[in-house]
Amino acid sequence: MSDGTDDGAADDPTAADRTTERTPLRRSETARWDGVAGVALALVGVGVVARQPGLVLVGAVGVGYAVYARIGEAPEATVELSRTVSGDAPDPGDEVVVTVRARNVGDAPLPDLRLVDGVPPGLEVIDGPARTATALSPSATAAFEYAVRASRGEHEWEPARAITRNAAGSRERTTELATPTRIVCTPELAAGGDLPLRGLTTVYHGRVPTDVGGAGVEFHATREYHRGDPIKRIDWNRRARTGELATLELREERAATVVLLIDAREAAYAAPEPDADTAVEASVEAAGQAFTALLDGGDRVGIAALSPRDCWLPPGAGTAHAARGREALATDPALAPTPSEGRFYRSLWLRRFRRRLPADAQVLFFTPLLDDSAASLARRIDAHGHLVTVLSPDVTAGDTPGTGLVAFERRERLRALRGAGIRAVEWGDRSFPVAVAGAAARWSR
Amino acid sequence: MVAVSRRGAAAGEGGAGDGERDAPERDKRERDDRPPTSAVVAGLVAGAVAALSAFLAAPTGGALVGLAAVGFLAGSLRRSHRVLSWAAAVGVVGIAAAGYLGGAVEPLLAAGVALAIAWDTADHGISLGEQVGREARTRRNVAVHVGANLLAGGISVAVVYGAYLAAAGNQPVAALALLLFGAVALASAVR
Amino acid sequence: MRPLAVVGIAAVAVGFVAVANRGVAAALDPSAVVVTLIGVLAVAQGIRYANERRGRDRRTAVPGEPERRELATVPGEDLDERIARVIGASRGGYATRRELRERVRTVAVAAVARDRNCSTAAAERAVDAGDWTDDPTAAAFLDGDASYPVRVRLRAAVRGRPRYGYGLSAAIDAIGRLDADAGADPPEATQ
Repeated sequence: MSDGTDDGAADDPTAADRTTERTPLRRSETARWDGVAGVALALVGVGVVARQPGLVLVGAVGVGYAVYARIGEAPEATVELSRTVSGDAPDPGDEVVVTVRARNVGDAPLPDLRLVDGVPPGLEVIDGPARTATALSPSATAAFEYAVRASRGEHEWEPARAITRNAAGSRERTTELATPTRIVCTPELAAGGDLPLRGLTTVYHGRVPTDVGGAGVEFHATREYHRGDPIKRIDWNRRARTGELATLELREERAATVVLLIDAREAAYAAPEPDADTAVEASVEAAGQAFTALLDGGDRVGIAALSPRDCWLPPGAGTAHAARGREALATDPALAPTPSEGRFYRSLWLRRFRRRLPADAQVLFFTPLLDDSAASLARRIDAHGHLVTVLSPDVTAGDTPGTGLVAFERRERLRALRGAGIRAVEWGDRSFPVAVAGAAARWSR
Repeated sequence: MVAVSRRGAAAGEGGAGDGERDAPERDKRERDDRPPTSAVVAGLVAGAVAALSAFLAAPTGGALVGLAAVGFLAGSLRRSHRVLSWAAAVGVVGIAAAGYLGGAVEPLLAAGVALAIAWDTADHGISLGEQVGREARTRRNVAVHVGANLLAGGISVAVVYGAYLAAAGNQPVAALALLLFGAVALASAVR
Repeated sequence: MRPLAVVGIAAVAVGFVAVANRGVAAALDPSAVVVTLIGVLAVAQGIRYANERRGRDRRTAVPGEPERRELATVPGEDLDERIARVIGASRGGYATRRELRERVRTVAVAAVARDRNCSTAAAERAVDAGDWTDDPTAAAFLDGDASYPVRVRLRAAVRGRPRYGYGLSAAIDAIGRLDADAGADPPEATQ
């Protein structure tokens, strides 16, 4: 029968110096005891008519309940809330246990206290409701815990709701209890990549293959070994066959500048099912793969978001840049797991984006293509002389007339883009590398 | 392969996070907003006590109060305040019948308080279910609520029954009639 | 209201005096009929007050479901809602009807042009003439002159639903078949 309640003796000392900000929200009469006075009166009346003292007495007890329902306001939720998480930097998919302790810091008892924690909208509770109902005498503490599954992003807890009632439950009051807590979940960007983005980034400009032999990745010729040639480029096959040393000449390539542009407007927070991962998640995940693969290929990579909030990581290279990119993809507010507040002004955004975009940069545009606006944006960037490749996660459902129509329209948008000479790849359900491989094979024909 | 870390790394953690898509039974989970078991059980016990007491007062009344107790259970299961109110009305009629048929004072008082507790607990349970749910910790809350109701009922009974014993059966009808008339008039006026 | 309150207070006051003082009670001693009348009055008023409960709404906080992840929008779900509204009413919703028909037509023309490898103008003519699909219901949806098959008209009449809904679903399905023929990722992507 343990109820998670103790008498404050075992209070967490670190929690004590945190303050909870209380905001009263609403008060109401619950009306649950309404009519009890009428019932009492009727019972007394019946008792008088029947000359039965027992009924008169029961009616009088009913009057007692009517009084009981009237006494006492719903007390203010004088509660100090502290929240501890089992890890504030979990990996995606980890289970994070959240422990909430509520301490009555007021002088009055709280006979009926219900707490509903403000779980961040981007997190899903996987174990236990994030709620409790208890009663707290002054300086008593109640605790409850629940578990969330971590997912990409920076998750800030919203204020918890405390609902208090008077003892009879006839009056109710809601209070918000704000206690800042956050967890940051930054997906690992795995090192090395055989994502065949080379096919994507070499055709027009960007990392142009030259006819100059030297350092690179593609075989060009072999020549006689000179002292000081890197050991990696020695042709060991020939060495094994003939015993002579030769050095591989690789095709020299110029590094490309690529900007990964992710559609994170409200429309992009869409999924085939209401509780599935959104197109933004799919785009960010794919962009993470592209980011690593391009960096590993020696390209300079930047990140931008199509969002009401500004997000811009200028193209760069190197380990520090890789860390910054990982950080941006995980926690940039513009790429948050839930839509950003505010209106998106397309022309303003485009002007700023073009100002920032290096002249030789190409753009990998990740968008679910759910509206014409995304398609026309791709064309405008393309018209401005940047190679645009549209990478579109398919989040259409297509099992009802409405969703089917939207799926066809999206498909037409893709075809129209291809017709206009813009390369476009679509993928569904986490098959991004496969889709890119297929597309790259086509383009290199 | 490339950066499949989001899923790959998670899958390594004892399969706890094979991705949201792989755990549909968790995605679809809804909060259980039925009333807490403790509230339902407490309501049932109080309803049984009420029915038994009313039965001791007068069997007909006891049957009606028993019907009310069943109604409380049905209301709890269906999460309907309305059903509870109707069941309470049936219970009140049962007590009125028991009293009208000349039931003894003590079992009537016990039935009255027990009926109030049964309804109050069931109704409280529904609101707890709506706001907090069955899976959350609610026992202490329910216990305090039932205790407070019992205290209120107990004090009322003590006062009323004390006055009844003090008057010792020869209470003047005139005084009672006047008091009741005054109460009716005041109740009408205050409204 | 005021006089009633004064009467009530007076009655209660005299009632209390009568409880204490037998002389007053004896002087006031009402007839049995009056006492019964007062009782009946109390019952009537009591039931009236108790009955007011039926009209009252409960006002309690609804804390929502913070445990669930914020739900994503399903692309096209809003369209389905609009379609349901249009279909639900036998008349009206012309703006929605026209818009949907236009959007379906655009997609159908594109699909036909691709399927037959013909110009957009030729595809438009085919769609307008209704010979773009084998399904007469789908053809009738986009062809103002053609009429729906008897089967569909009958079914619509029996259910009291507009034919529009049947035509819309049939047209979407027909486009889906054309699209499937063309293959999911056609080689034209090589551009």
